[in-house]
Amino acid sequence: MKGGQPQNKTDAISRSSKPEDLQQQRRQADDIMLVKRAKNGDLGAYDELVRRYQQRIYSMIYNMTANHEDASDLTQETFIKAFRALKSFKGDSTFYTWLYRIAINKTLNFLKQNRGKIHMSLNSVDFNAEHTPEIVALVSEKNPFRDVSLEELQEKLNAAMLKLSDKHRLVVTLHDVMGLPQEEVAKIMDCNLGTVRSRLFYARQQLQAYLSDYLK
Amino acid sequence: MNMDRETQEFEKLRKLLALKRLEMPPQGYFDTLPDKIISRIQSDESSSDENLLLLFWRLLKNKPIIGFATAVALIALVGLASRSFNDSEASISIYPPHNNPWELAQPSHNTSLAENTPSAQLSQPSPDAASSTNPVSPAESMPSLFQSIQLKVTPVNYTPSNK
Repeated sequence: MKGGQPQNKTDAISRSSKPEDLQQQRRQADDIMLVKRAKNGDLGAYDELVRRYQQRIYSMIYNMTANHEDASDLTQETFIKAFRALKSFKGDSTFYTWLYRIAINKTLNFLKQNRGKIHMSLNSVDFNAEHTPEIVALVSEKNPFRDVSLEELQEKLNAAMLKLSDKHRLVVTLHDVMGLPQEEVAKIMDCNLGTVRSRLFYARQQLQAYLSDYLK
Repeated sequence: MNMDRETQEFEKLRKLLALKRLEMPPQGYFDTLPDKIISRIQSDESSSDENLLLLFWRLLKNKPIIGFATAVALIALVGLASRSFNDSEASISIYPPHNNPWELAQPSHNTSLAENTPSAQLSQPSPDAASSTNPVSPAESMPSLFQSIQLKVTPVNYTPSNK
C-alpha cells in the first residue's frame, strides 16, 4: 500500500472537501455499479443510466444540429450504440465522458453526411425564460433586442451557430451553452486545454461578428 | 488579466448564448425517451436472427450469381442425399436374396410346372435352413402364382406353292 493513496473509492470520496466533488464522485461510483450490471444484461440498470444522461446528451446533439427530430434520433442511436459497446468500456474514463464521445462521433458523422441539408427545427424557449435574470437583462437594456421577439432572436442565434465549423460549434456548445469546464471539454474532445481555449476564442469572435447587430 | 478582458469582451455574447439553455423539447419528452431506447434495444436483440436471414436474402437479390450457385449446390445436395438414401435402403433389405417372395413371384423362373405345385414346394426343405443361425425359421419360399408362359413360335412359309 503506497502512502497517501486512498485505500478504496469510499476513502477517496470521504477525503474530498467540496460537496459538489463529493456528489460527483458518488455519482461516478454509482455509474460504475450500474455499468457493471448493464454489462451483465440488466436493462433496468441501463434504463437508470439513460435517465441520468439523456438530457445532457440530447442537449449537446440538439445544440449541434439545431433540429429536434435529428437530435432525438441521434440521442436514441447513441444510447443503443453505447449499450452494444458496453463490453468494450474498460473504465479508463468516466462513463459520461465515454458516452459523450459516442454522441459526438455520431453527431459529427451525421453532420458530415448531411452537409448543406441541415434545416432548423427549433424547440420553443421555456415559458419561464422571460423571467430568467439574464434574459430580463438582455431585453431591458437599450439595444436592438428590445425590438425583436425572443423567437426571432433564437433563430438568429442558431443560424449564427450553424455558420461555425463543427469543431468550433462543439466547443461553444459544451462550454458556453452547457457550462462544462474547459478541462472537461478537453477530456471529452480528447485534445489539450490549449486547443480548447484557442477554438473557443476563435468561435466567440466569429459569433460576435455574425451577431454584431444584436450585440451593440 | 487576459482572461478578464476576454470575459468582458464576450459578456454580451455569453448572455445571448444563455438563451440556448432555455430551449426545451416538448413537455414529457424525457419521460418517454428511456422506454423508447430500452424497447429498441430489446427488439434489436430479438431480431438479430431475422437480420441474418434478411442479409442473406439481400445478398441473393443483389448478386444473382450467388443465388444461382446456391441453387445448384442445394440441388446437388438433395441429389446426393436421395442417392445415399436409396443405397442404404437396398442394403438393409429384410429378405435374403433367394427368399424374396417378389423375386419368386417373377414368371421368369425356369422351373417346371410340376415343381411349382404347392405340394411339391412344401415337401422340399429350404436350401438355407441348414446353414442359418437364425432361431426363427426363415419364411418359406412361396410358389409362384403364375404359370410361366411358354410361347411356341412356328415359322411361316409365305412362298407361293407351285401349281
